[in-house]
Amino acid sequence: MVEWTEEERAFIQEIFSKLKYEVVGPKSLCRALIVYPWTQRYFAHFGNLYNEDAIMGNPEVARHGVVVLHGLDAALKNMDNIKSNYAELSELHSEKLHVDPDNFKLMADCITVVIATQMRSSFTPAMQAAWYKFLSVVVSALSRQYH
Amino acid sequence: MSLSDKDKSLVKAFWAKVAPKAEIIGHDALYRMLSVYPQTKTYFSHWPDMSSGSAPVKNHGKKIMGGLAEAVAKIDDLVGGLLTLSELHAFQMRVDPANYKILAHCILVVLAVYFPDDLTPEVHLAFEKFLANVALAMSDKYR
Repeated sequence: MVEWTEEERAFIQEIFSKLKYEVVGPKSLCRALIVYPWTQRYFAHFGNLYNEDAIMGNPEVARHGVVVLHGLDAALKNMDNIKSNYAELSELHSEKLHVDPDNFKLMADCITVVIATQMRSSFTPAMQAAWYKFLSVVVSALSRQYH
Repeated sequence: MSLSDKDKSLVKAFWAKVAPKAEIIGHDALYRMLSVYPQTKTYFSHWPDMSSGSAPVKNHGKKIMGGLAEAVAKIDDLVGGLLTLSELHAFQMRVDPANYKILAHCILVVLAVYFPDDLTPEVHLAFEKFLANVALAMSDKYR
């Protein structure tokens, strides 16, 4: 069981209260597809991912970016039992989507960089530490059902 | 994942914007690394003070950014150009190579904070590749 201090909980709440899903979601997924191009292997059905402009203008990428970001809501709502809340999503990523779990970390890093561009100096080192812990728990939960 | 000519020119152009703020960025990135990844503190147990704004953190952040400036200047041959630094990291400091990725991520987060519009996905890609190649040069002599 993960232990959260009051300060960590407050940091996570603050980040989500300022989070614009329709901005951060698309930007994060675009960044992952561009910075780590091998992740494009999961999105061949999205059409044109030929170059940076195509990716950034692709409406399916934008839509899916929002979906991925909302995937974090389950963790926010139940920070004391993130593991059990992701069992289903974990199985989906393993059995149906066949996503290499290393990619979860890459996506987490991209979300963090985009949040840094949005929150700027208010994304303090202490806040980043809490956020990294939060995302690490989610990534671990998502990787759990792989076998 | 070697650097293309385009990567190199993107890195140089971005670095020109970053350089004036190098000291602030170096300190911020290093302090974030120590805060977010506390296991990295093991390399600095000899420091009397690891707090934000402390002299050791400021000085070392400046040193790291100085190293990166040198790397930008020698971007066409990082292993050769950074030989002295490489030997230092290999034979004396022996930093576990996994930590270079951690520091690189912290540098990128700070660059995102200070240059949100300049750190486009394209520039992010080039700069991250650059940092990965610097890390390879740093650990070139390890074994």
